[in-house]
Amino acid sequence: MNRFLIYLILINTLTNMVSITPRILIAGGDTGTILGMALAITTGIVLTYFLVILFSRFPGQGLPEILKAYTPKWFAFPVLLFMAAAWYVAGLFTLMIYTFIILRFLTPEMSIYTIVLTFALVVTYGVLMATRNILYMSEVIFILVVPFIVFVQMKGYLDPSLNWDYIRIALMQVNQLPDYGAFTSSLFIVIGTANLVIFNRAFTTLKKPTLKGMAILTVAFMYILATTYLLPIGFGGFDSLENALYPWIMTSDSIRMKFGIVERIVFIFIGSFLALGVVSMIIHWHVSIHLFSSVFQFKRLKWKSYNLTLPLFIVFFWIVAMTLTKRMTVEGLYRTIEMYDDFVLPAMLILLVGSLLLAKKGASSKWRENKKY
Amino acid sequence: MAGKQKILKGSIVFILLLSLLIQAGCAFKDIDKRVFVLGFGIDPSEQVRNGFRVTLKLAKQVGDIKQSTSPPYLYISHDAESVAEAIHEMETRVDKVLDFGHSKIIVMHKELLTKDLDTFMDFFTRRGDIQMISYVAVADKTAEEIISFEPTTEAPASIALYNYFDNTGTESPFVVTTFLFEFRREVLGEGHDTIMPIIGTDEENHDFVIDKSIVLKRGAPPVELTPEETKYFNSLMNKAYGFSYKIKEDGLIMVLNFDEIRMSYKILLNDGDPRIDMKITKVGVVGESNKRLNSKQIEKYNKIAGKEIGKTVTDLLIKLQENDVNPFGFGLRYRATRLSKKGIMEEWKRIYPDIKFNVKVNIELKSTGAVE
Repeated sequence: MNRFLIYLILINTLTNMVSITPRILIAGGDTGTILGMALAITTGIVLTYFLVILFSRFPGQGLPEILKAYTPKWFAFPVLLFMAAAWYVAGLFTLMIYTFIILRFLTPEMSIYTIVLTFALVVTYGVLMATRNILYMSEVIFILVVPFIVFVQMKGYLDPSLNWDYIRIALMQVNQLPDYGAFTSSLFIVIGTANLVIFNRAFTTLKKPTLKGMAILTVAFMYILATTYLLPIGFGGFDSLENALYPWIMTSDSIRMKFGIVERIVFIFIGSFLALGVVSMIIHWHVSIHLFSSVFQFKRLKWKSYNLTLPLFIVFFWIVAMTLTKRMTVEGLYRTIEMYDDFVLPAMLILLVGSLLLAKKGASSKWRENKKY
Repeated sequence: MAGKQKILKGSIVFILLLSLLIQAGCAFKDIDKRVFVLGFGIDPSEQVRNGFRVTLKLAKQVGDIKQSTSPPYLYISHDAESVAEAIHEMETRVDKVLDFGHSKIIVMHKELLTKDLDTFMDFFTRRGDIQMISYVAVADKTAEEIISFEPTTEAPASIALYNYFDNTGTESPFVVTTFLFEFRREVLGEGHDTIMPIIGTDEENHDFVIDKSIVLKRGAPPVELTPEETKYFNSLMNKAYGFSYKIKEDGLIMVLNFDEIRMSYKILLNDGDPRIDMKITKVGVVGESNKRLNSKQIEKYNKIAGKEIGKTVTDLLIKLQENDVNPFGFGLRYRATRLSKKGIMEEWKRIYPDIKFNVKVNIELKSTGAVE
């Protein structure tokens, strides 16, 4: 399995650690988060396996090329449009949650527009890069940042103030029926493979999933999901964490580095996750913008020889992001993400697998037709 | 064409660099416009009914600590109906921004513990910039006195009160450390009651004395532990170093120092009466003796000490049980070892008052010290 694919998947997994996901998991704590998570890991692994196999049939092609070649037009366009919107919103969620975190914990006096604009500028630069270069960039940032994150987590697991009895209480909820909200939001965490819809263009020789690759992913998913849910509970309590808006920020603030450069570990933590968040946003919006431009390509909109479709979309992205971030409340964001995870995500996954199967069928019949003549 | 592009690229870089100029206009306030809060003290107010008197310890900026003429700290107090109001009104009395990010201690008055904690502790957990690793403590007198007290051992530009709790300075089994996040999780949850240190001052008003502690349960009167009980509790729960124990027998007086303490317990319900089996292992050396010791008799000292320590621990457990508080977290363990179901904590509340304790102490003296 290509290592860039693994970065692609794991960055999506890690970014969601500090976002709304832990709060959704903790909210479902009394009603079967544990089984929901277990189910999500299984589903995620199976889906990852099939998606990689399906995409490896079309080496070097993104979903737009595949659908346009092998499925009818009336089917391809709505699907691509829906997916473009879904990816844009996923990136927007990351932008919003990180804006709120910065506003709450780092620079309470800063204007919300300044923060969004700073993000937007960096992300725009990333989004317009070539697909392959984004993969290189994600590798660099992944390698730079993940050691810090793992360090903070290890520090947390070894902290004497961590009360394992709370974690055991959370695990003892295993006799509850799985919670749908916990299942879908964990599924969102483990389904980074879906980014292949555009990133498959960069994988010209995508190999079949290997046992080693799948094993690494399974272990990583289990570790990250368990840490996302259980470590905050060990520090914040099982019942008392329910009203915390940012459980992971609170947790990293509870970890103390006695002899470190800074005693308060939360700043290292937020910094590392900001870097990951930016990469995740770039990945999502890169996918989104290319899906959009596969549907709408304004041939006349030109400045000299340069087509202005992509910049137009970028400006559109900015305006929507600014207005929505300004208007959104934390509670509203929570509800929206819950809805997105519960309805949009399953629909998107079913559509993705379905359209790929359809394309596969179309491809094999076309191949046969070609052979006949 | 290439030259044109070069000019274009150059001017883009220039414009980007220009944008650095407006960075200084961001919201960040310089350090000389900030005053750092080092600690909070909360007392019941005498002027405002049902209100609080909040005291802040502030650090003044001085260019060079050697040249400063005035003491580096100042204290301001204010009465208001809530903590947030008091702090906002204090902002009008200080010319700089109050920066809470460096505060590390919250001291509260003992009387406040019987009040509704939410009314004043909410402020600290709701604000994002107050550290969750702040220490929470209870004042023996008023919180104002404690927070503004400057002991003789306090060096300039250091804060004595922090050193007691952060385990980088003194490490004593008499000092319990409670962080704000522990306080929050235990007060809002069930099955594990919070224990907090009590900060007092000595009779001559020279130094702090921190050797007692108080157990807080929501909706019940708090239970104070004596220094001796605090020491036993702290050595078991937090594996605090420096636990010493005095043996007296036939004119032999000996002090044992333990540096390794292990404790584990099990809640047994089906084996006869409900009981808690506690196993304690303490490893150490002899620290002081008034007679020459025989290395072969170490087993005997082990037994004597083990029996006595076991009895003291049982007494402590029974005292806590009689007051229906539970700083060891037995209730939590009970819940953690059973599959979830409704009413599991009510079940525990019925069991706890009648549960028996069976404490087994195993003392391992490694040597008689450097001499026999």
